[in-house]
Amino acid sequence: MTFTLDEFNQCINDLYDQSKQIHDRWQLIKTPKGTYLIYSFIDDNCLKYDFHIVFSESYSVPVLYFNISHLDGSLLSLDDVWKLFAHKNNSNMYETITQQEHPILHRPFFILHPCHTEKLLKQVSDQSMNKKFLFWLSIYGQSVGLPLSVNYAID
Amino acid sequence: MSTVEGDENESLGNASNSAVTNEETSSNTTRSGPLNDSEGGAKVVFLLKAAGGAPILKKKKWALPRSKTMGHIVEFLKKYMQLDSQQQQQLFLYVNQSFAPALDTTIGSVNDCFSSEGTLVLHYSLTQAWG
Repeated sequence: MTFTLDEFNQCINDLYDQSKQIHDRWQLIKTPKGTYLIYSFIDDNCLKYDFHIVFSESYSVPVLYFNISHLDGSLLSLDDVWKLFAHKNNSNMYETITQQEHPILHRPFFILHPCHTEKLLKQVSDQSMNKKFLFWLSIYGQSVGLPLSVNYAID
Repeated sequence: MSTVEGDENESLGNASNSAVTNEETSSNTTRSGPLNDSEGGAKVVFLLKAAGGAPILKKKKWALPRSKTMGHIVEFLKKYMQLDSQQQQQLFLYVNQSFAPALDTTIGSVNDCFSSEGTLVLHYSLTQAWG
């Protein structure tokens, strides 16, 4: 179960519209190289999280790119990120957070590798495209601290 | 967690762990008012349905106080289903067949958004999400 680029673009546009309706802070960035979504916030520990939802051409699925930085701009290392998420009981995930060049910004970001995304999406193969997208985002996002209001899931 | 139907002694006895708040002792077995316990708090009734290769639970109907979180249920299930460490990474809970709420979301607010006809359906699955 994969997405076409058009379906991905439709989903991120729809999420952006929903975000505006509920006064959330997703941003939609349109570039000649592609369109993607950004969500940024600073947590209680003064860490800045930047999440980008980008389309993977090779896997035909969305991928969650993220960086976490201190307020002075310095980025957390892979080690720091592992320690940050270890308490979320996903202690094996450190094997699968990898660093990859953002396909549009050409800067290194961390990602949760998308090789199992298609299989995960099979669980919701009978759902609409938008629901599949939200399912993906809610599962991947919850493991890396992305706040996602239940309001996105209410029709 | 307390059960709404069936033999409560059976499920509480097997699931002895610190993640479970046992508000009733094994001698207090029958419960006629499922949604309100003696402490006066409202409970949420939910059905646990297996998906994505997860084992089917014998006991599917459960009740928890509104203030318990999704994370509490996940931790409970990890122990109750005796998942190994790899399986524990793969356990996900979702509602409306398509949304996994953040683990700090209370079951009360999930119920308010997604229950229908007084029951909330939660799907749980064991799926490798990344790697």
